Amino acid sequence: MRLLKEPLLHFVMLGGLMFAAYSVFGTARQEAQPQPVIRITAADADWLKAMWTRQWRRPPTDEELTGLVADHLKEEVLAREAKALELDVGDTIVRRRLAQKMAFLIDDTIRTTEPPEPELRVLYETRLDLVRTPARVSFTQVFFRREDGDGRARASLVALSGPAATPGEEGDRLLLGDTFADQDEPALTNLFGAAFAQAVLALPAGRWSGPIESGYGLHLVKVTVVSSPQARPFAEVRERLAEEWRRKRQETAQAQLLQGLMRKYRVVVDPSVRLWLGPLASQVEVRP
Amino acid sequence: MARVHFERSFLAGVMTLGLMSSAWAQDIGSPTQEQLEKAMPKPSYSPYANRDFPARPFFGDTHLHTSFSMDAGAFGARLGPREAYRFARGEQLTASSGQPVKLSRPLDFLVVADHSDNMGFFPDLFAGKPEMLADPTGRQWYDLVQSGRGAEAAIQIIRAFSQRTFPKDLMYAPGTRPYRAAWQETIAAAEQYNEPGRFTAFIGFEWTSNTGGNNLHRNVIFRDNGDRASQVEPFTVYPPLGSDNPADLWKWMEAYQNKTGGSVLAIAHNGNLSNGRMFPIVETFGKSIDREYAEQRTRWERLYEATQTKGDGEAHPFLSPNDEFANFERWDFGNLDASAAKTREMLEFEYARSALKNGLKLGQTLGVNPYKFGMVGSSDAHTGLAAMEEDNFFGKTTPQEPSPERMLATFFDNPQTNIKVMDWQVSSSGYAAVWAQENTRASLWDAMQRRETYATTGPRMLVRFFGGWDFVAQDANSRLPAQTGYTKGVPMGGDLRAAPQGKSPTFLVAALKDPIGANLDRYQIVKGWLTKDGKLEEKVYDVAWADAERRKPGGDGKLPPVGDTVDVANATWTNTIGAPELATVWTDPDFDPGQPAFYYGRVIEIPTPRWTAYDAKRFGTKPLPGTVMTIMERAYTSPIWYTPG
Repeated sequence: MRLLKEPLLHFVMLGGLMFAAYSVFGTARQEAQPQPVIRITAADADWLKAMWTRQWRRPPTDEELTGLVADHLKEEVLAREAKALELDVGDTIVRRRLAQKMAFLIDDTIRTTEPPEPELRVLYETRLDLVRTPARVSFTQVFFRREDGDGRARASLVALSGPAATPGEEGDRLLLGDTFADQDEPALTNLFGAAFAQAVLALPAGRWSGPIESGYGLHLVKVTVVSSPQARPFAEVRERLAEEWRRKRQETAQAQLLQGLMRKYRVVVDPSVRLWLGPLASQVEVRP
Repeated sequence: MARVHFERSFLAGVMTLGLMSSAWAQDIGSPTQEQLEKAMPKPSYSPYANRDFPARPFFGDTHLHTSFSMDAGAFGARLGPREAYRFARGEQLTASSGQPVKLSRPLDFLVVADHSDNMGFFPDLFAGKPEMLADPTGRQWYDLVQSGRGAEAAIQIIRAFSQRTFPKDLMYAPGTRPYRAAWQETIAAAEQYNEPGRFTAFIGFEWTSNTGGNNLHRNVIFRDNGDRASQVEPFTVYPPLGSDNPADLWKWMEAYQNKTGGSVLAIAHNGNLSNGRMFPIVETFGKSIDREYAEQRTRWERLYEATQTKGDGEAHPFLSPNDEFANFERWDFGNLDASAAKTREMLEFEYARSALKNGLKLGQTLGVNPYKFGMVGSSDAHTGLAAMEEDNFFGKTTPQEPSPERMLATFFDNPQTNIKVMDWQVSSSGYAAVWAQENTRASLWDAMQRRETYATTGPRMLVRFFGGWDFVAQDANSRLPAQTGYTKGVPMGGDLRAAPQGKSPTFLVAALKDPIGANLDRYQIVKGWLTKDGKLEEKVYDVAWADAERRKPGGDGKLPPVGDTVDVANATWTNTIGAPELATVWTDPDFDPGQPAFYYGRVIEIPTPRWTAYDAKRFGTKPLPGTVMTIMERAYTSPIWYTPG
């Protein structure tokens, strides 16, 4: 019998048994207590209309709305009764859904929070990577293929250091070109590789240096202009810092809040679970 | 060009005056040679002044999915558009699988191209929004994901979508609040991370026409900023609002441009999974291929994505039996959801090279060539991570992010069609290279529109390709070949002008290796042409190659292989073979001015370890039999066309 294996059937049967038990044993207590109230407000009706409209892309008719109200009431009654019977306890989906709602609550709160000005000022002082314009360099290069490149490069370095030197006649052709203006480190890294970029940014301006190695071969380099990093005004980077503040806060807030909430509870763990406690071990009691 | 013309006529005028000068010369004196030279514009001392042609290519990905794509979300992607842009800009992130990840170097641009149908669906499904859980199928998918079986849910969702059984109540369609929110967030992310001159964050989406599982997808890219893009919502596939017919997408694009004054272009991809429908020549969607189709297609679809994670789309060995490099990262089992197997007669209408050829013929019969497209590569990754380097490959989907198991796992397995694809077959490819003047939305987009682009399978090699009638051998040796290229010819994506009497087209080609990558093996030119009796032909020419002193073409005209230094066990190679740079001028030896033709460049790297080799080494995983462990990475340029005058 496949029907007997249906979880839904089990659920209905179990519910039926509970209901029967409840109506037998619960009557006396129920009479002693005031009748609980279910309110259906104008806001509820609006919400029902909005949900319908979103799904069907038209407002419900009166008839449909009557159905929606009846369904809503039915759902509310059943949900309350289910809660009274603690049917939500031990239900993975319900539990997970509730935990998720907490997590979203925290995220949403942060997303709409305006960061405190002093904290932004601190970020302005400490996160130079977000605040500064990058160092930029302009330079001319002479390229040498790796084969015999080193000796030729050194000879060229001597020739170029003379007064009448013309770099255009030295070395080999490089398809990237010979003159580069206003390049920052990421741009240079993309063109020549990281080691070359760092080396060039460290060169003194005004004279030929090298040979410096790249993925292509060897280079003599003469830096013409270096612009050192400049801090941009606070107002210009404020939004970027705020975004960073929110991002960081989101990362830590969940963990912090969880820590705080954990302190509200005494967590008691069976010794058999001890092996898998990990860093939690310091926050729990281990007892059979 | 205009200036040269002006200078010539001015000089001629001065000389004419000089000859009849005696009368007026008495009044103001004859001009001396010196005076005249001073009056003439001279070439500037600086060879870079007045140089407004693109000096370097910009690398990026035109096709990246994030958690906003429903299938990506279902596969476990948790990174959204903002994270995708931050990663492409070079930041370190934590991947959805919990591992730290960073690119070897930043990309220059990125298009977050999430599926337009159900955009933002998955973050809401994951969040368990009440509307989702109210639907039995939504509930079922939610429970699958919650119980850790997201991959199963993903496959069900993709299948439901392509087989049109997706629950109507769950559709996130344009016009609804959650859909609008997802699109606005996509735009906001691009606006936040777009930094002209440094990093371009394009606004875009993917239109995922997939009826019957046959892939007719297009990525739509906006030239514009958020003020224009937010006046519309993406075009979708599901009726009644959407359509699976590309002609309707083109109408939507036109309507967008008319409404906002903005500009959009579309890039098709994965013809290899379209089961013969990507490049039709007879009919499509019940309508015959006519001049209007050709005009619209070539107007809106300027580029084709010729390589990506789901296989390479340049050429197929069945169609190009003489091309020993055609059998590359091949995905020719069937359509996208593996619901129908491939047959040989489909192939011709799926691959870039055969489409370019058929385009020549259609161009002759219809008067317009519908398949006059340039080439890009892109990732199509569904992870929010455009990480397509072999030694830093973060997979196509989240379950395919690095793990000891990933090269052993199964991607598709459909017993009904007998199609099984393993995860090791996923290709760590590719990127789009764009020859633009500067790194801005406008400049990059304009370069895409004029097809000045090339595809790479991952490495960032620099590739030049110019066609003209007057290139000579020493042009390849000049200090600035590009200057000669732009002055005497047209760049990739362009058209040769009418053939001068008795001349054959010449091509100035040059390639430079990736600065941190492998040396180059060879530069090839692929030619396709239409003969007088209506036959389509193709030929691959080796035009420049490394180690030329020891490598001569054999009797069959084939160049010997470059060699192989890959140590698969240790996942290493050396640049002791190949060359960092290749350049030459090539003249077509078989040119016939009466035959329409196209030419494109293909640059091949020396063999290097494939991502599977890095996985085997780093995780100690023993590869399955048949796993490909080395790769010859490559680049495909946009073609240059010749049309008889």
